[in-house]
Amino acid sequence: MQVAPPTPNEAERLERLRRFGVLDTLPQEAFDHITALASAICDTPIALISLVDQDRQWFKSRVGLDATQTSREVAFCAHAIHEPGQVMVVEDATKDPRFQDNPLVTGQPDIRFYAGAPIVTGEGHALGTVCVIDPRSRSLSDAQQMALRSLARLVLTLMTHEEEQRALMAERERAAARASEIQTALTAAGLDLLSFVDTHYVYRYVNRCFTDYWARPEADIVGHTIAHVMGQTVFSTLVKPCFDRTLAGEEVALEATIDFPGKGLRPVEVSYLPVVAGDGTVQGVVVRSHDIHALRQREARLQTMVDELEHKTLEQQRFIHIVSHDLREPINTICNFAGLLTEDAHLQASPTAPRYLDYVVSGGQRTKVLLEDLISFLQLEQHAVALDEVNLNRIAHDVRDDLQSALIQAGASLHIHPLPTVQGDASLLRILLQNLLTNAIKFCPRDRKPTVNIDARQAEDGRTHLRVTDNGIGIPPGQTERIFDIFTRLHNKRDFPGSGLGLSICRRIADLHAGRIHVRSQPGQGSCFELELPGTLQRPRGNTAP
Amino acid sequence: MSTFERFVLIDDNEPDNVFHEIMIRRAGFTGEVLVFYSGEEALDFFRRDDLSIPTCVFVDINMPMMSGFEMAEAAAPLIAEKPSVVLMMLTSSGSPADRARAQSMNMIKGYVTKPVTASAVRELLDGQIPAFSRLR
Repeated sequence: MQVAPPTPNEAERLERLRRFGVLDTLPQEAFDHITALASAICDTPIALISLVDQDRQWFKSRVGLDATQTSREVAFCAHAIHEPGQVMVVEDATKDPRFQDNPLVTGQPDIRFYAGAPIVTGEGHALGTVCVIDPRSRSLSDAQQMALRSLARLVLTLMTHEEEQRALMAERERAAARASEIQTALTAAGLDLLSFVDTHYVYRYVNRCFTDYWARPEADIVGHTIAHVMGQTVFSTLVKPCFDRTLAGEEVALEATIDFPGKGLRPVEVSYLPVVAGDGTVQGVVVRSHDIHALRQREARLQTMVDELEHKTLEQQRFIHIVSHDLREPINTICNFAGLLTEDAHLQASPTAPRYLDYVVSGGQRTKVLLEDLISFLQLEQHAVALDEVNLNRIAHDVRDDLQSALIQAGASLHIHPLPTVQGDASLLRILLQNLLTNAIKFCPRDRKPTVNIDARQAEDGRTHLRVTDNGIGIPPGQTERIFDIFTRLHNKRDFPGSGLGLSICRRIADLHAGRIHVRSQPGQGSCFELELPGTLQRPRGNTAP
Repeated sequence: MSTFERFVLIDDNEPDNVFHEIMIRRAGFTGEVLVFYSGEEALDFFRRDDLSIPTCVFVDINMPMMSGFEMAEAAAPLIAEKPSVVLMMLTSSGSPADRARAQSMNMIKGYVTKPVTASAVRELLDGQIPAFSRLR
């Protein structure tokens, strides 16, 4: 007897065979049809699908043979797979030196005739055969051989199909496992208490958060009623009414404070969500409780801060009140009586008194101006912006009337060009224009007559640009932003008196209108202050409280 | 319009009273100027006096114990039938709230920001009562 050697690429062939995963599987109808067909076509009592493993041949399907496998040494198929392109036909095994003393020939099942069509993969590996066996010596027609080869190809197709199906199933299983892992993690590890309760008020599922808060093992909750976990009173007074509404199909949400054994008293947002089956019946209720303890603490902290701020604002307002009354009175007294003293004949005769008195009078006046400006600046903080249609022409002419004496005194000429109507707060815009105009007159060299132009243009985007242009001393480069800061003064008080607050007030008023104010200047030649107002003002910035 | 023959100053602040009296005199007024340092003192006088003389009353708003507004309310029944008595509020603040309140009380005829000057008194003597809107 000759034992077939391993195929030239035996390791790869075996690897491929095992990858099909067909070895040692249960019988399958499709394969059994193939052996039935082979047996019928070739008119043999035995037909097999034999797969040649390392040390054995294993039959995926068999007709007329009881054995499920034999050792590879005696396998005819082990020889057949050496010629993948051919059907191996042995007409009389007793006359073939390879098989004549084979136990399968000399004993059961007394093989005389054998024909095997190799099952060959796309890569050229012969995995086994579809073979037919007869205890009588005989031959096989070409057509029968062709049919046998077709059946072998069919086996490969089936095996390939099976392999693909298995891969697909495995991938689906993995995906499902991943999804369920995520879901489990989400529900178990969430920061909310989750439970599923059936229609008999019995817990069917609770997450870890739930067991933590209630400080009970899962086994002491799942399978037990709500009353068991929360107590009969809480259940019947608080839970059951909401629960029953949910069982009727409604979603119920409420806030409650619950004394959790594992956490203490906690405010929670509870939602009851009905779980509705396809037929519309409610199967149970998902109860989700969200701990808002931390949220409440943050709210409380915020509220404390708001209270403190309100308190500070009130204090500030009280301070403004004190400044405006208690400081104003003595300053006014000083100014009033210093004014009277300057007219006193005795003092006028003194060589020094008039000069000293002038210092007192001008110091008093400066303090008074500073105080008034400071108070109006602080009052802007509380000012409720009253938005209205404002005719800038009227404002400009009012301001000219207000400053009439200052204009005459300085010999100034003021040109008011036609101005538009804007949305704004008339009294605030008047203060702004008053400040700009006062500055334009004030900051002028002594040897020059102030010339001031007020004009405006409206941009395509609807914004209004109101300009006050003067021929004054101008502003040094690099100072055009600083001048809007509070108490910024660029000049000696003796040359140009003022509190240093005027432009801060202007900027604050621009802010309250959601507008901007800026300046362009040529030192020595003049400045142009420009107020930019948005076209429409929906909500003003700053305080809107009455 | 008949000119005032008497001024009443009601203010807890002495220098203001002194200054205002000087201004009234400078405006050329030679009649009686009465000074009270609290609303109560002034009300006592109003109850005693028959209030037949044309009188201009300046009441400071910001006074301790009884504010100028409280004084004006208490004085209202006393001066209601006396058109010759004109009540004016004095303020150092020019507060819009104070002005609105003064305007809403019909026994108050005017609102003046301190200090009252000689020229302001002259206008009063000429019969011009400062209207609310003209004052800042």
